[in-house]
Amino acid sequence: MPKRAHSVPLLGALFLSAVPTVANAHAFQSGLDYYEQFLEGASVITLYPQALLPLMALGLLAALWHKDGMARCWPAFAVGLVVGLPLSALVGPWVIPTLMILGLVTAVLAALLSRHHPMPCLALAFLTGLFAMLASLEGHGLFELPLFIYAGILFMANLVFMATANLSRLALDTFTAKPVPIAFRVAASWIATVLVLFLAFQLRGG
Amino acid sequence: MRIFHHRRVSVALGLLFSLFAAQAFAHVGEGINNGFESGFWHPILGWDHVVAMVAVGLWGAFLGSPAIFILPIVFPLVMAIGGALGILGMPLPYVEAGIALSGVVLGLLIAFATRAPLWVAAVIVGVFAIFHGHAHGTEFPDEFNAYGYAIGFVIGTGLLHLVGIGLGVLTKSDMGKMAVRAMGAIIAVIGGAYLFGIA
Repeated sequence: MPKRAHSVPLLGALFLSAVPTVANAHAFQSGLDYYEQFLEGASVITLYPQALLPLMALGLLAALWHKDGMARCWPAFAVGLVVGLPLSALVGPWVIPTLMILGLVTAVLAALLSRHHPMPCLALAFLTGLFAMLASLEGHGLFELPLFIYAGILFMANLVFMATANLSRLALDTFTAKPVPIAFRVAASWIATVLVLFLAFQLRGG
Repeated sequence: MRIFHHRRVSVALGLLFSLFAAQAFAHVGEGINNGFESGFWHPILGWDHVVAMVAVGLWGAFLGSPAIFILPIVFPLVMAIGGALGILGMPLPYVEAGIALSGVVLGLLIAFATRAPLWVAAVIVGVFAIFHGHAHGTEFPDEFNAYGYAIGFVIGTGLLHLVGIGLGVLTKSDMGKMAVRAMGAIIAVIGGAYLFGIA
């Protein structure tokens, strides 16, 4: 029995090592100080619209879904981010277009539907968190990078999602005029439009 | 003597205008040195695009809620699909004719104050959006930043819709309705000029 208990993690480790992928995403620099490592991690989200826009789309969806949409979505989003950490070694370049498609679905739902069901919102929160982490660390193994790079990614992914959701909700609660939710739905449609064009550029290799 | 005087004035004016000669920036984004600016000005500097985008907002305002926001949401989404086809090099026939026709059809719909059901309006707007998007996609200048271009182009298009919606507020009064319908007629004429190669 103890033998079997040992064999499970061993098999898991063998499986993970058998499917290595080239770490060709963000070429993180080593040897920086902690603050620069943190900033480098954060910039993976802020400087790459492919990661930034899906997070903003999720923030808009959460705000349009419910008054407490951000608070309700956040646990699923956070679990997705954490699950993505060990799995990032397994993914290849396909993960970035996948995140963009996910962002596109999220933005289209936010733009076109006036009412949202909890399940799609929570599922999209989990998947966006998961794929945002996978795309940020694409191909890098767990603990391969300095700890503060992970901290930077986690911080910025949460900040973008929370800031978009909370600022949108604040505007929706403060200005109760009819065109205000419409403006946020138009913003979501613009995000979807930009993501479609980005996907086309990505497929073309531009 | 009088004719001679007119000729001198014409020559002087001609010389004066030649001093203000500027490069043609319209439509292809040439001369604009980054992706965002190129994308932003691309829909705004092409009159065939401008009239159609404004017409979408105007017609939406004419139809009232929910068309007033559904149409400006549908248009960019479908336009992006057309844009993606253009970026990927997939051919689409009669693009220029489709763009010109969009001005004619949307202009006439406004001029005659046509109240189509929402889904019909969305389909009409969506079909024309593919032509506009395709033109933007194929005319993307390779030397510019693709991501900046996409963002600029979406914002430029969206602002034109907002202009249309803003003008559409006039429909709240009878005089305003007449003015909006007159704008629709002008849009149809401009679209027709492009369609028949006059503009």
